[in-house]
Amino acid sequence: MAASGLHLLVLPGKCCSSFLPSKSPILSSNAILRYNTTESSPTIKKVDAVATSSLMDFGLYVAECMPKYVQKVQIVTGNELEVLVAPDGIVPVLHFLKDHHQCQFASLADIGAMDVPSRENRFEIIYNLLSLRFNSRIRVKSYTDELTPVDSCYEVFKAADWYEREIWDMYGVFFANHPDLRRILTDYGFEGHPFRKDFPLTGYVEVRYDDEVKRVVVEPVELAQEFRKFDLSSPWETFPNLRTLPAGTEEDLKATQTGPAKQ
Amino acid sequence: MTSLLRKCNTLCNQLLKGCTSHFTVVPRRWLNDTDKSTMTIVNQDTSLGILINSYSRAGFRLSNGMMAIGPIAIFPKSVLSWDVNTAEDINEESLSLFYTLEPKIDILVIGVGNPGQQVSSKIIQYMKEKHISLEISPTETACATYNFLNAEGRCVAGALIPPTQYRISEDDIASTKRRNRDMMKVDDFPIV
Repeated sequence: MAASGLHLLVLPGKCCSSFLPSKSPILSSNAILRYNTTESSPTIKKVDAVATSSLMDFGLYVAECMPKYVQKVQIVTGNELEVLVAPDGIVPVLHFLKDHHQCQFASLADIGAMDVPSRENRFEIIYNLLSLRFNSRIRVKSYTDELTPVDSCYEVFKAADWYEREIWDMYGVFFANHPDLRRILTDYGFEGHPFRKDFPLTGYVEVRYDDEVKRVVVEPVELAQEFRKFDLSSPWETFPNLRTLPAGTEEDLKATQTGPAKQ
Repeated sequence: MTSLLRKCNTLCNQLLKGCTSHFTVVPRRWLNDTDKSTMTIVNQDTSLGILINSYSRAGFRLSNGMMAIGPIAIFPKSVLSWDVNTAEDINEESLSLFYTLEPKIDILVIGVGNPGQQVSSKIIQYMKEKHISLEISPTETACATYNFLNAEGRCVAGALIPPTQYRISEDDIASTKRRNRDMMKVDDFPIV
């Protein structure tokens, strides 16, 4: 258990849901001598197989209840359930998750977005829900591009108000039927959507106080020093114990439709 | 138990007596002015310029007591009537006043009336070329934006079209009645 837990901790990005002991040895024999894998360490994430399998069952249940909109269900980093839906189905799925008796995800924790410029639908909208009744979380993900509006879920979750305003301000995703969609974080005359990947880190304009006109003026940005990109990789490998670890995978529940996965 | 209490009591009395003999008792009021919380209403501060107190289907009430009817072009020190029908009718000519002014304004707050109205994108592009930032929003929020941009002291002008649909609260009805001096009158269709 501790060995697979270590495996999950170290891999970057999305991790596979293999939480049962694998057949292939993860650590080299030298490392086993140094590193006692039978001892449980408080810093290693312990994955509860029972909880994760019930989470998978629930994910499949959601997919069966909403077959029209749910495109994929997956478990990432061992214990986080994600439901990928079509953009038309955001409000129905969120409505279902909030009001259905077996779900009761009544709390909207966060709405975030992600920009992947290489995709056709470059923005991914991510809704994080929490169920207080069942003490569990679920993530609903959808997608859109720069011009297609997305339905606002304000009528489902009132908390979505400012989160959607933030996404509009930072990414430029328009939310239809939002009560008051305007900028929230950027300055009043600001142009552009800062969290997009093609928006530079330093921005396009800078502000300064001009003594001649006695007020703050907005000018194109001029950096005194050219932007430096540091290469932070070191010549020594950072985790020699974990040289032979395989890459992480996503556990796609809709494709397998079987019981707990094995690596 | 009671004797203990009595002893405490007498001890307290003695302590207090001792205190009062050597110090004056400070009343429980604010010890200095920095401890107080203060509140200022921005609209009542005349040094900030003309601010918008309220809006209606007819026009706007301003902080200097004036009422302006119809769409307005509002500046920190003056207000003018604006000849524009709806947000779509805004063209270069109707905005010509704003970009010919000296000193050049930083931000032009455009209140488009009801929430669905659009301003033509050519106009937005045109004003960008003139280096005036636009802040386009429904009039309800545009009034507030103009108010606190002005209170901050930025060079801002407002171009506001009165909305035809807006939310009315009980407080609005009450203040209208107070202004018209018929608070006791029962109104089926309150005019705000």
